[in-house]
Amino acid sequence: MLTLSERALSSPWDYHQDFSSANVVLVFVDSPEGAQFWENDLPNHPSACFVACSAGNSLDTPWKLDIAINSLPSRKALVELLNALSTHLANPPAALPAPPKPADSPPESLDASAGEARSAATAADESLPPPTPANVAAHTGRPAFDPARHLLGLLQKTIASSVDSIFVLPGQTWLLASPKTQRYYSASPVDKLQTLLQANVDDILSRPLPVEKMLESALSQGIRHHPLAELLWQAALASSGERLLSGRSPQDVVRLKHWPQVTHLPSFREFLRIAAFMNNNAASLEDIAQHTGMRIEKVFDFHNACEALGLLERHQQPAESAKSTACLPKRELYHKISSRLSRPLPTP
Amino acid sequence: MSYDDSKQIKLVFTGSVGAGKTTAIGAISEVPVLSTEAKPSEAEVARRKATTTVAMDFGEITLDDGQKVYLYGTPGQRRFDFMCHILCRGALGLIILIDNTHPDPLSELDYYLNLNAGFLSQSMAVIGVTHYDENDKPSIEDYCQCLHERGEFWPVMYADARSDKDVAMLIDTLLASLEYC
Repeated sequence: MLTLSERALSSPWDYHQDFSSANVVLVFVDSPEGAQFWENDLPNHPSACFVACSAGNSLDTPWKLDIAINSLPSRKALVELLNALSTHLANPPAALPAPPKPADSPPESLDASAGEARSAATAADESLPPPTPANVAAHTGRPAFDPARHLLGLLQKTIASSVDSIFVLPGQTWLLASPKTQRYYSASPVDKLQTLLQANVDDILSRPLPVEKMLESALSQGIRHHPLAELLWQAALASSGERLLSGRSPQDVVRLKHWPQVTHLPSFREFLRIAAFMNNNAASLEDIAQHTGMRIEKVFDFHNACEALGLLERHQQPAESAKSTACLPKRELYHKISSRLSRPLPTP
Repeated sequence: MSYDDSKQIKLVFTGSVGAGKTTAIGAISEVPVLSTEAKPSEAEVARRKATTTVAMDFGEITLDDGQKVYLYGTPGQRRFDFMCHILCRGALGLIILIDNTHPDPLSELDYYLNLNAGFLSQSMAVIGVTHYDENDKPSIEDYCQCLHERGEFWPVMYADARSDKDVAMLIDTLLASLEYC
């Protein structure tokens, strides 16, 4: 948990097995040994700060950490506590400090059949960073899209590690992503997965789970599998929110490496013109929007989804031929044909 | 009545025997597909199909303003390859269907791209990989790699020739690509 949290910590922390050398000791007071330690041994260690970790914490102590029964504390609560302790230890006041704000209710434990692990994602500060030129889509003023704050970031880490993992939005839905089989597995149809695809990373529980074990368990009831690429596409679109990927610019020049393999998904059709343009031309995102007549925010969404699938080539400058080459009458003909095909075709 | 193929609006389906050309046209044609079939003369083809197209397939759809779009399918047997050049004359674009259960689908792709190189230097193609549910190797990524090695960037996707939605997606992709080639 410490390693996972350290990006959000204001000071470096080390884990010690021997508490006699530690500045801070977390005591799980719900266990008999922890309760006895808290009652009898605290006065023997006046130099350390002791934190009572408990479900339904009712102890009268300045430092507390709420946890769910048989579970770990939430990463957010741990980060808040350790940052407050950093300040306290660096500048010890004469009087005891006010206790930190009580931790938010931790996420529900995973369903028993799925285990009780926590998210494996790198910690992300709960509050959005203030908009800066580095992370704001210049034309919207909105914070940029950061996959690390959503399921997409977790999926990308899972794929990079090649470890099958299960992701749960407690009380709602779950899925298993398998880099080994290049599939994802779920009992829910795609529309029911939207809450998970859009969820904040701190609300998602996950742990490694080999697909074979999942298929042997009760989870396999009603399970279906689909290509993993489709999950990445849908996760990117669900969380992108018409914002440009952090660190990217509307002036970035891109082109598709090859046609996206998600053409069967209903969500692809609205990006068909953008895909066709980007398959044939290297152009900036602004130029793509202009030449296709699509809103630039839709171009951002397509860009982000293609980036998630590893489909983008980045160029230094646009190709000279980046433009619509078909004359108006031909374009009108193409649109008429597409329009006809979009309606039910009569059977002969 | 004279025939002027430069004024026809037509799309051409080509590809290997059994790839689903006749079926694909039938999936979207408003009229029964006019087929010209006979028993195959090539032994290899006879093993795969009882009959095969010897001249062309024909279907059509009608646009809202009454214009017709004609759908042509080329024969799959190699001895009738000359029909490709005839049928492609004046066509909007080419839909190449490749049967993924063929012993060497990527060679088939190479063959049909080479056969139609003259037409494709002026127009566009989209590649539909059929029977993907029966055999998913080579993968779509393998097809993309094959195209990259040729220096070509045609859209490629798997498609069920029996599905009007899949066939419509192939045509829509072709049309979108024609706008920006």
